[in-house]
Amino acid sequence: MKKQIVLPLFWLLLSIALLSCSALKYAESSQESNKRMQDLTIALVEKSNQSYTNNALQVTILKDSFNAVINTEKLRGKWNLPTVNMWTQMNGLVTDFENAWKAQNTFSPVFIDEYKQRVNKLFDYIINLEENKFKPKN
Amino acid sequence: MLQTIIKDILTDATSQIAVLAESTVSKYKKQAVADGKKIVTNMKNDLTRWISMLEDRKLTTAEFELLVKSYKTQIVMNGLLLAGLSEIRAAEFGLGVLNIVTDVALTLVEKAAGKLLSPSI
Repeated sequence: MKKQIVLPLFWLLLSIALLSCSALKYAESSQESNKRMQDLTIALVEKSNQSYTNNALQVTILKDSFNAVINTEKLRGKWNLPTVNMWTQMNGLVTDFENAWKAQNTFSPVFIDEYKQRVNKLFDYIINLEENKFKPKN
Repeated sequence: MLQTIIKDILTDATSQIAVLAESTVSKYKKQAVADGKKIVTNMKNDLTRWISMLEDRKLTTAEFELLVKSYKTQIVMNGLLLAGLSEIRAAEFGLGVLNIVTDVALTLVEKAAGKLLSPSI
């Protein structure tokens, strides 16, 4: 009788434990994507001393990549909501940047240097959050 | 004049942090507000430099606004990082509890199986 209760309870608890663990698991692919997106964003900021018109396509590609990352992060489940929200914030930042670039056509070198530091700082939040998720023990 | 502008901006930003924390990370509001204030204090150096660049016309108004706006994003990101880390810590604790329960359940199952297999006297 005792065994009839304990065994299903054990499997139930084990399943919950495994599910919780996988929901918050560190993903190497996500971290690589975070760093790649950081590089791409910085590369675009560096190009903003040139005319927006000449770089409009790159901006669209970057924004599409942001949306793809947001969708991928959403698939990691509800525990990953802070990461998803961080990406949404970054997406907003890129949209503001695009609108200002479009309006002004080129940015000053002084601004580009300052903004690169800001973008790097913000990406650090996404990278740090991923770094703190559960890492499988080797 | 520059110092007065900076003081006004910092005071205004600080008062808005609590409202922002309430809407983004209400559960961790206290720490979010403390961290937000720390960001605002750190912002002072950047802000002083940017206002000086603005006055020297090295930055346009739109560029200045974009830089300041990036700090607003940073305050929100900080709140989200805090919320994310708290969730990770809570889940770690939950997993610890589950591990204990699992171990206990396993021991009970082993004992029960042992009794079933052991020859009766």
